[in-house]
Amino acid sequence: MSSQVALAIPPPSPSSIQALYGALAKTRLYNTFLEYTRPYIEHVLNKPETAEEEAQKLLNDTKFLYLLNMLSQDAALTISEDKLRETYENVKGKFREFGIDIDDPMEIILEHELWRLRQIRGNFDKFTTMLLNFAAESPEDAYRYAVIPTALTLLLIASLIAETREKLEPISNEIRKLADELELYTLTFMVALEENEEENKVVATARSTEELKKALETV
Amino acid sequence: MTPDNEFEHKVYVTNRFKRSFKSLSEDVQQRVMEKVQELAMGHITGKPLVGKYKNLKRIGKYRLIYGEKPCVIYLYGIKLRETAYI
Repeated sequence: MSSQVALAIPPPSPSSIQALYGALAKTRLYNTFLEYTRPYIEHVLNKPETAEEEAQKLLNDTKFLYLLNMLSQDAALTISEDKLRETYENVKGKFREFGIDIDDPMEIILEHELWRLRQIRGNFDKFTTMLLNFAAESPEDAYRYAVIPTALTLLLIASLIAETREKLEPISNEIRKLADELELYTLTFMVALEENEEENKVVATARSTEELKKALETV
Repeated sequence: MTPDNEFEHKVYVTNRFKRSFKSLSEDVQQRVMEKVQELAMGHITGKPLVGKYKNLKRIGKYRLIYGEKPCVIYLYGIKLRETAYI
């Protein structure tokens, strides 16, 4: 691999719900992860609007990247979809307790993580090739794809510690904003994996509602 | 000015879009149809995807993916958030 290609590759993206699940499960790996990221999480708890900034600091930290690498391996090997769903329900429940509806952004995050997990387990070659191409073609967007889940991880863990509505509300606002952006990545990657398929061919055109209805009805 | 039922933009339908559309319930088909009409009339616009797919945009709860060129709307597909996930 040339050094040019290596430089274009961004840091890995953590799985936010997985990290949260691990934080709750309290394994050695996640305890180390939590201990290492605690100052960042506390900062985000007090100032949720700095989540992206804190995420960027972490992504420049070799030890954090090392932990992230192990977390990814743990996710690929051990985490189940049910555990992710269960954690997702716990987070929603925590916000709901304080009268905050966060269902939609959490659904976006869960969708992304389940989709990614399925790709890693069932479509690994195509998935990683797609990500490598994405990083080489759009390094800035690929870096953003590392920042968004890292910031979401900090926010979700901070939400576990938060004990008042005043603390949770600004956290939920940041989660909403980042989840909106994450959804565009989910869709982009889904589209990227569909490239060059016959399905993308235009099979009908329409200039009016009637023509559109016909176009969609005919086989 | 175009007649009431005529679109501002010509709509290109891909095989993928057509297939996804057919798999929807009648109620959802109706909503997607309304969204396509609004797009074709130039009344609404979506959010661009990322990377080299910035030319594609998503719109609405049913995540209709489309491309826009002068006078043309290219209906790429529909990506329902899979409820099976939840």
